[in-house]
Amino acid sequence: MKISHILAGLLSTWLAGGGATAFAQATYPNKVISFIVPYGAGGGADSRSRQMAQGMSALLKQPIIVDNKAGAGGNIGTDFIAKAAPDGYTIGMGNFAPLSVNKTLFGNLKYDPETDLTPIMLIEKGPLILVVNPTSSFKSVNDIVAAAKAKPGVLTFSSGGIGGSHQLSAELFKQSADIDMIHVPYKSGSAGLMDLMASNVNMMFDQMYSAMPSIKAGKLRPIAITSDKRSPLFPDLPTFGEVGYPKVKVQNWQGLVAPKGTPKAIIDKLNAVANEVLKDPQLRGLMLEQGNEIGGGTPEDFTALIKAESAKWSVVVKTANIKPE
Amino acid sequence: MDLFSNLALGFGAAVTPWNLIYAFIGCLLGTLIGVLPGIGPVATIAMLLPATYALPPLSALIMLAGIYYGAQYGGSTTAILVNLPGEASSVVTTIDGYQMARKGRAGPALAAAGLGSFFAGCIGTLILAAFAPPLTELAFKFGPAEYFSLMILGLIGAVVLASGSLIKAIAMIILGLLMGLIGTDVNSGVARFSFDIPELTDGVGFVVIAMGIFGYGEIISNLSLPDEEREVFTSGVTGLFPTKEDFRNMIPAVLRGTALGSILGVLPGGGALLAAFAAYTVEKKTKLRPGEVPFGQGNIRGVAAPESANNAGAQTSFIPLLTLGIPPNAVMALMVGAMTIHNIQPGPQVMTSNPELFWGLIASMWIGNLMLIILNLPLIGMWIKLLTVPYRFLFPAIVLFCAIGVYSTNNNSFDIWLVAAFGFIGYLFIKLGCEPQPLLLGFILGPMMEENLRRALLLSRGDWTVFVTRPLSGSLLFVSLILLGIVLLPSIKAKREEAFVEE
Amino acid sequence: MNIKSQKDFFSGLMFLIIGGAFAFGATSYTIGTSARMGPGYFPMLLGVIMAILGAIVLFYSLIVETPDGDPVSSFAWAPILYVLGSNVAFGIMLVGLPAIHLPSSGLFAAIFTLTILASKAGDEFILKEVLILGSILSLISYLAFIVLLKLQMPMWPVYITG
Repeated sequence: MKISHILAGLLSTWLAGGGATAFAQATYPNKVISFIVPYGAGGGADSRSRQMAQGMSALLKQPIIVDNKAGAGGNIGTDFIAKAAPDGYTIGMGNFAPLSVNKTLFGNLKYDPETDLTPIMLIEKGPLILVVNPTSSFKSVNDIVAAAKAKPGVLTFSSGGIGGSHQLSAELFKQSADIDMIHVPYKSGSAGLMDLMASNVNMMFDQMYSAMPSIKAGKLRPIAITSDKRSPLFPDLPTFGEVGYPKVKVQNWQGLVAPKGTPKAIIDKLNAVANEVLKDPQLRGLMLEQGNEIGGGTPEDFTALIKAESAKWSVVVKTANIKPE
Repeated sequence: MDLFSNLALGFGAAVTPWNLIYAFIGCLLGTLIGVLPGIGPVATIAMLLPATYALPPLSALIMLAGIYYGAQYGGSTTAILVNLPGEASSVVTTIDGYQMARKGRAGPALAAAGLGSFFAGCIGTLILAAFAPPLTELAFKFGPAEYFSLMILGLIGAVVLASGSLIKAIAMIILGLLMGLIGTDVNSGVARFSFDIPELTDGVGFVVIAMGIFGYGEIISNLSLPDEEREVFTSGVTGLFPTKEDFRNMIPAVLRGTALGSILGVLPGGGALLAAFAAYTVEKKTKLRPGEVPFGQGNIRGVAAPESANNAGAQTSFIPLLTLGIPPNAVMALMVGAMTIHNIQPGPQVMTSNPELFWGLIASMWIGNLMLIILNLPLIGMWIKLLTVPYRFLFPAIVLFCAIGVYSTNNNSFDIWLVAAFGFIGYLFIKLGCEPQPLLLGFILGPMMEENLRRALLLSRGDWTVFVTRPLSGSLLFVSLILLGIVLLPSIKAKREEAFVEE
Repeated sequence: MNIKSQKDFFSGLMFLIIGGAFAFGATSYTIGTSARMGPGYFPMLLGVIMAILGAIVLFYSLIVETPDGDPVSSFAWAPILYVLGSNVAFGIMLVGLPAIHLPSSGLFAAIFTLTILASKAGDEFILKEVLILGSILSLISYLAFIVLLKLQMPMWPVYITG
């Protein structure tokens, strides 16, 4: 193969790449859409993305390929979405931490969640449950607060890592109740849960879908839930509001996002299709069984949520002085 | 007995035509990716997960499980044939396995790995079936202090891996430890040594290091030798099967490896890995029979023991998943995902609420192990034939599979640049006479050691005595001390003998 | 300076430098105390230990006699360049290079580029054989990775797929 041939090939590839985008303006969508998931396969974000992608693909009559771009706590994938071409052919999952926490937490993100992304629709919200080991003497929130006040800096809580919803819920609780507890981070929520079951830590705020099987099997005792209202799956479990801590309201959420500058017409179309997918009874069943609240609504609704959450959590992070250092 | 009726239930569910086919597909795929350097079970299961959504839950789990333990079989193949550890747990197999291949004994090495794996896999499955609950309780006894002490034990054992200069081996272990620390620190959230590159915030991948240092380094080194000095694998290939002598040596090694693997595999966070290293260490420290090749030069026990350990560990690592719903490693985390998609809540109640699932999976593991040994033994002949291909065709293929393997882990081009860098580093190591295996062990154990050290101190509020006052942790440290003595004694003895001779 | 073992000399030097580098880098993170270790504590500790070990190896390389001086043979730059270069070229072909707006050329182009470049590192380079090897590898890769494992990789250059 002559060098000149190789160079010619490369040159034409380079030039052709630029020309291809001109053809994409016809009716949207007219080719494959890429759905970026900022987390690894098998997790909650990934499974839901695949379900949404499948449903939307059927309605849009175009294949939607799910692409996992995990790493850096969701930052790599979210940055990828933010930097992608705003032509509606790259969308993705926008999650709690990358969108509303990481900016304040890390201070040097390569993307700005407030300006570099266009929200499309909220998919679901899910609360967290404060759980303890069944052998623990704590039976209510007040027990814990009393014990923490008696011995500040002694009680421990686990989490799936710095800056995640586990830690943030606990920090919010600490600030509301004015108590001091030690944070013990783990590489994943499961690892933290496992050490709770082994009685190495005192308590954990865990996602409902993660803690539920263990609670139902009697390996964990639930103390309170961080949602507004009691969950139909645990009718006897009080909310934090009911036991005197109305500020401790946390929902872990995720929704569809697109790069900034994606045309409004495309956003509205995607929103309509996604809302339609959320009507599917099987999907709804899966979400409700995990204890989640089904999302939906307009892009503006989701934008407002993200903004509110960012504001709320930046205060918590700053007050608790959560800093990687 | 309850166990028998459960197993009968399981076999009934697993031995259906479709489930047998899925088991076979899983095992085949697993062997394939185990053999292909670079691509591992995590990446593959992640990619195939969506394809299993349409399958009934038991079939999906059967296939995915098959991929996982199938990869353990395949991983040893590349470790032996081309010094490339397909899986982290195959790193130890490269030490003696590759040396056996260089001496024309690739056949017996592959057979030893296969047979040892089969035996261990069966025993592991049996233990999973019979002893899952008590072993889970054992796993609960391991808190951060115990893990730290276990890691210390592991690291001292790592020194045993080296056959050359002791002090250089220790330095390599520490280099591995330091490389393992690159990335986000769990306890503080700081991204260490990442130079603001997002791809480094999760650390350097094992695959990148293994492919670069073991794969490219070896290839470059080989190519730099003139043709006559180069590895000719098939010089005097002496039979494809182990001899009677080999079997006699192998059997105790397989038993020891299986025992270690079964116990250590239950521990979350790389127990199966540690088992392979531990098994090798134990073997190396037992007396050599007359006529046996020294370790590091192609002793078949150095292949049989770690391979048995890692397969037993692969089976028992399902225990925390199936009894608690807690995934002990990345592959199990994907299994959790698979179960959730199929609407099965992984948790303590899976055993009682979905008995056909639980027992069906266990039965299919035994079937899978059987399929794998039937698949792998005849393949040995094919692999040997492959080695006769002239090196100038073989090595570009290895380079290609390494490159694809590395890329496929994260779909990130950064890894491809990184593996080239490690290729150069690997070549440097070979030139300077530094052994890579201790580095890899340090790389894997280092982060876990630090994480648990700091966590234990956090929980004890700065009290260092917790490592000795907790009984299990204390005993592990005590054993470490003894092991340290055993490791250092020969070199101290040698120095003293030198001193005597000079006088 | 009488270097008795070249290999050990340079190994020791390498460990000394790398250990020092890590220890130095560790200072930019919180060190903390032994009771409450910061992210910099462990790396600093290990870096220092490694540097010390490196110094010891270096020292012994100057005084312990070896039969032949343990020479470090010359670097084989050609294989290094071609093997590692083919790997890098594979990456560029498969993924493209955003910096110069080069899009992906597809898997098969990447495989051929890698095969040709890597083969130049070997003793003989017969173009026909190399191209056949490239084709075989492309076929195997297609079957194993695209069909069996369902990896998502662009197969053809952009101007063919559009």
